Amino acid sequence: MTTTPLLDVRAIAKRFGGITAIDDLSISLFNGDILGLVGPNGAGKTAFVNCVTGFYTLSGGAIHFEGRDISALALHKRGRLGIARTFQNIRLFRRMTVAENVACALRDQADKPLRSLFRFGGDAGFVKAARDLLDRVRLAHKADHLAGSLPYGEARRLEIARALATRPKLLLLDEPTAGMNEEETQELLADLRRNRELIPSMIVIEHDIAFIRDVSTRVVAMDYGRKIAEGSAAEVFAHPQVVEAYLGAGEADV
Amino acid sequence: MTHDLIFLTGVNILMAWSVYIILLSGSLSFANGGFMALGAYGAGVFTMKWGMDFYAALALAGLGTGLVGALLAYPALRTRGVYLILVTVGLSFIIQTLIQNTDYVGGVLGMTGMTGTTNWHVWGLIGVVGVGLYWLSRSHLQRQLDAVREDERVAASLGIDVVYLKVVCFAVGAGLAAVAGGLYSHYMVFINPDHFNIFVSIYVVLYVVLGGVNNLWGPVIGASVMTLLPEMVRALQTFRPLIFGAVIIALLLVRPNGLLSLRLRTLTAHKERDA
Repeated sequence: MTTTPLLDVRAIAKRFGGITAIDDLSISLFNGDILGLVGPNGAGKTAFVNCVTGFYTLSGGAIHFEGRDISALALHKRGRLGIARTFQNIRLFRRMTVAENVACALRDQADKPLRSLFRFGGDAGFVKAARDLLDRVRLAHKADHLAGSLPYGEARRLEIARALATRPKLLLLDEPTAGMNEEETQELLADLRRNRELIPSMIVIEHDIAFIRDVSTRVVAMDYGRKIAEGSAAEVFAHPQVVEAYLGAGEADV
Repeated sequence: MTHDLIFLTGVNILMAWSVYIILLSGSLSFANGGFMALGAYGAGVFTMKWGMDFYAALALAGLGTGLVGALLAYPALRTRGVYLILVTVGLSFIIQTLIQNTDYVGGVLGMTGMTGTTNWHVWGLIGVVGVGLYWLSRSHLQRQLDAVREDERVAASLGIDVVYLKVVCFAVGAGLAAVAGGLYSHYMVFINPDHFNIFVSIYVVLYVVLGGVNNLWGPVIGASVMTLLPEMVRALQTFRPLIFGAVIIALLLVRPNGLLSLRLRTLTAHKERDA
């Protein structure tokens, strides 16, 4: 049992001037894991996603993916290795259609962009692949709408479809149910379950504790840029430091 | 006279497309007047001093300037937005000053004797580039370029090599501007560095902005209207910059996205349903 972890985050740090967003954080993830990442606002969860995907450069530590050090690797190279993400503040290509948002990310063509100029077979392959992915998130009927016209819940699902188009080995979801009601949250959960074969491993940032309980195989809690607890959902949510981080310590209200 | 006007319109369309091609990847270039100068002088030197064939000179000027464009783009693209614009403005000045101080090509006095360009050359090239741009507009590459223009960080995170695409667009745009410059110098017979000052770069960008940045016809319309309009109203010709300014302000008020701003989609997903 000496398998290398899919993702191995080794004592990373991220500082902005004097502010420390992440401090000495180590997390490892094996193929098949679904890691729930919880913590109060400002705990450094999104900063962690930015570090793994390459949106931030590290101030310290190292990140290994499939045994390879990717700490200094450019954004698009990490994308090609199979790391994909969604955004807390949705970032779609708003002036492109729903189908185009997915099609532009399709993995099999992404690495040799100029080669697509010498392609004479038409768009059938892209259309089919895009429609298939949109079907999976219940958006096929909106394929030709502008992405910017989608309501909130559908925009979130489109972001997931776009990320899946890259055929990720690791998908990082940054608050996928933020702003959704209970019904929409349940539907999203069903979407993720239904498409499990396309999402080998996943890291989910969420405030919805029930959602984290349902979806994750393991949970890490963060506060002030550090890991404060790790284990099963039950263990982590019962951990005194986690309770304190969410509810505050037992200081009397003044 | 009409002949000259048709020629000038054609060159301006090619120049507008050279800016449009760079803009496809989200960079705005004010250096294309400079690239045009490199092509005009380069091709001129090749035919006049090296005795090269006209077509070979154009091709070499285009490829050479494209290479220069790529080499300049790589460091320049480390800057973004308004800073990149300033870098390209700087490039325009540098190229003009370099030519002014190169005695081999006549310095400030200019260079003379280039002939060979006809309207067929210019409009033939417009046909070729137009077909190419139309082909591009239906391609997966266009889709990825659109993604880059929408949000380059997100596009990169999806595995799209943003820097590579930007460098390629910059090189192709610079090369096209150079070929337009070569055609220009071999039509005008005489050129001097002042023909390629910063205003040329600014005008060309304005053709694109006024015509529309979202499809290949916008630059054609912008370049045509802004070349022909001052000529139509002959009395106003001395006020060319003034007309320009007035039209810009009017258009930005009425059609802030350009005359023809419609973006053409690269695929239609519901095709089979309509059939």
